Amino acid sequence: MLLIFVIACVGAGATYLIGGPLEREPKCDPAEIGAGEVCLETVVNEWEGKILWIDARARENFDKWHYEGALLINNDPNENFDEMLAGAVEGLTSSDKVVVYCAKKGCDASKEIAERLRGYDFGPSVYTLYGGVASFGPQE
Amino acid sequence: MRFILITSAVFSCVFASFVQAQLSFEQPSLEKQVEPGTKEVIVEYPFENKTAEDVSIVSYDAPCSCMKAEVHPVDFGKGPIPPGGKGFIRTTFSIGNFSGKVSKSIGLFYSKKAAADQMLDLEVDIPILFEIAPKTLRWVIGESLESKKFKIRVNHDKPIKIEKISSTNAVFSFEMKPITDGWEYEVSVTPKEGSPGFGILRFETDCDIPGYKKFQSFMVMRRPN
Repeated sequence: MLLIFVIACVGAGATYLIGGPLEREPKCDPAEIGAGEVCLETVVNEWEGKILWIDARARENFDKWHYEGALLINNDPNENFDEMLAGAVEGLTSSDKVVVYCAKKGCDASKEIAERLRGYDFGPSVYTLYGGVASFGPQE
Repeated sequence: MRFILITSAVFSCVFASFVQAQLSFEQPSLEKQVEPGTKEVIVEYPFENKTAEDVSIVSYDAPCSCMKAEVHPVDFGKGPIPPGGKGFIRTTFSIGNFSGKVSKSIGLFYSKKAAADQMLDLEVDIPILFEIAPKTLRWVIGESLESKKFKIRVNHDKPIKIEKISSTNAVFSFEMKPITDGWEYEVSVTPKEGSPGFGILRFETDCDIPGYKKFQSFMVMRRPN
């Protein structure tokens, strides 16, 4: 019995080492997330006022799907950041809060764009969405 | 006791065989200062397989479309790198609209895992030729419509003159004053009315370096929070 248990443990350990941890939908705990991050549930269920969503992914992904009302601002070298910013400034200055999302949990793009937007100090607080676009669920 | 020792030994042997061998990099973190107008930065991270077994790079993850990586020699990117094998990873970073200090990392995966096994870091220092502070002038509805100022400083080895300035919103009147022509300017902005709105000030310069010909700043009249 013990031998079976040991073999099972070895097998499970080996699977974890080779295949890595199971990929799961990112679960967001407001107590666990980093400074400047926010959970989708918090935005949807707790925040009031006008929220502006910024999509920091590549235009190709934005064109396939983006959160309703989201505007594209990214650091793609083929895009003109100043033009994207100028196009979004009306929303950026009239919103109560701004939330930036990118492709997945831990992606840098949303943090970089959020940092750049904070540097402009338009007025609203700027957050990044924990879990990225996957937080919205299936996009198709 | 004997059983526990044997079990521990079996565990140790089995798990030791799965500990991932890694490449040795001379410098996994690099810094690069670039000249104004540089479009891309190419850096190389030389490596060696100092282990006694093959190491395979299963994948490498660039953080954005602004960065790409290649393994050289190409064979090492497709198959195992034998013990003693030497090569380098060439990374190309497209500067685009970035400015100031930018940090990027390439993740190397030696197996299918959620997290990278090794990171190669790059910090690029891109000159900011026009320093404008603040980037946005803000007024709150109800407060006095007093003038506020942008201060512009040229951080270059030769002067850059502002040739043209325009506003997208006539509600914000502006006046530019050179403090030291080509080096330092002040732009005073006064809102004519206290209703919600914004404007963009667009500057054109005589700078012939691509990407530095134009820049912009913002003016905002907001409702109180």
